[in-house]
Amino acid sequence: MLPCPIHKLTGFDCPGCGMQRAAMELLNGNICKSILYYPALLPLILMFVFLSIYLIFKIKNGAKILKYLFIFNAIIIFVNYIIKFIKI
Amino acid sequence: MTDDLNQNPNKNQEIPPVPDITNIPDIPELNDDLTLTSNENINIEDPNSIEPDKTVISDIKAENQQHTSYQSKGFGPEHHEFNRQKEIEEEKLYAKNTNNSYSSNKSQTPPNIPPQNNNYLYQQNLPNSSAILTFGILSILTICCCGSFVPTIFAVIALAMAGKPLQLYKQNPGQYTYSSYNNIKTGKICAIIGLILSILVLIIFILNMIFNGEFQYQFNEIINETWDQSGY
Repeated sequence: MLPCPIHKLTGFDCPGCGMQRAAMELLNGNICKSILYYPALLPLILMFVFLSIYLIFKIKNGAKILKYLFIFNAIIIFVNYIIKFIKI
Repeated sequence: MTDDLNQNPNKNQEIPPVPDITNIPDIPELNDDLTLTSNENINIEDPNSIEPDKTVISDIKAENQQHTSYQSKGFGPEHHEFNRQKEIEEEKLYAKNTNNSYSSNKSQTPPNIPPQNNNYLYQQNLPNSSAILTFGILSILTICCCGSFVPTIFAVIALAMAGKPLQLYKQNPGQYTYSSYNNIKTGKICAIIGLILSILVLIIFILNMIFNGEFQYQFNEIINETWDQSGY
C-alpha cells in the first residue's frame, strides 16, 4: 500500500484517505466494506467510465449528467471528510 | 395526406381536383403489398431495361379484381369521394389552427433552444473542449493523492483554458457546435466546485494545525530528523 504523504507529515487524514483500502476490498468482492471505508469510490469510478464513454460516443445531455454526478461526488467526499474529522 | 400537411400547411391551399379512380388500376389505400410499390418505382426509372416478373403481373391482376369487387360492394368511387371531402375539411381546419397558434406564440420568447445558423455548413468544435471537461473532472478524482494540492492545479488549468473558447463562442455562436460549448461550460463549473472544495479542505488543514497541539510536535520532530539526516 502506498503511504499518504499528508498523513505522514501532519498526522491526520486527507479527504482521499481510505480510498486504497476501499479499492482493495472492492477487488476482493466486498462491496459493503468498500463503501464503509470510502463511500465515494463507486460513484467516482462510475463518473470516470461515463466520461470516457461520453467523449467517444456523443451522448445527448451527457454534459448535464456529468455535472450532476460531479456535484453528487463532491458532496459525498466533503460530508465523509467532515464526519471522519469529527469522529477523530 | 396528413403527413404532408404537417410539414408544409401552406401548400394545401390549392387542392388538386379529385382524380378518376376508375382509370387508375392502383389506389394507394388498397396497396397492402410492398412488392408492388417497389417494382413500380423501378419501372418508372427504367421502363425498358427491367422486364416485369410474371408473378408481379399476376399480383396486379389479382388486385384489379379485388378493386372491381370493392366497387360492387359499395367501396367504389362514390365512397372514396365522400372520404375525400371529409379529408379536405379536416385539412382546412388544421391549417387554420396551426396559423392561429403560430401567431399567438410569436409574441412569447422562445425557450432555451440551441442557436442554429445555417450560414455555416460545417460547424467546428471549440478548441480544447474535451480537455477542459477532463481537467475539470480530474480536479476531484485526484483528491485521493496529496489532499488538496493536485486538484487545485487541475482546476486552475481548466479555468485558465476555458476563458478564450467561451469568448470565441460569444462572438459568433453559429460557427461552433453547441455540444462543445456545453462541455466547456460543465468543465468550468466542475473546476469551480473542485477549487472551492480544495480551498475548504486547506482551511480545515490550517485550522487543525492551529488547534491541534500534537501536530506541532510531530512536525518539529520530522523537520529535526530531516535536518540531522542531511548533515548541515
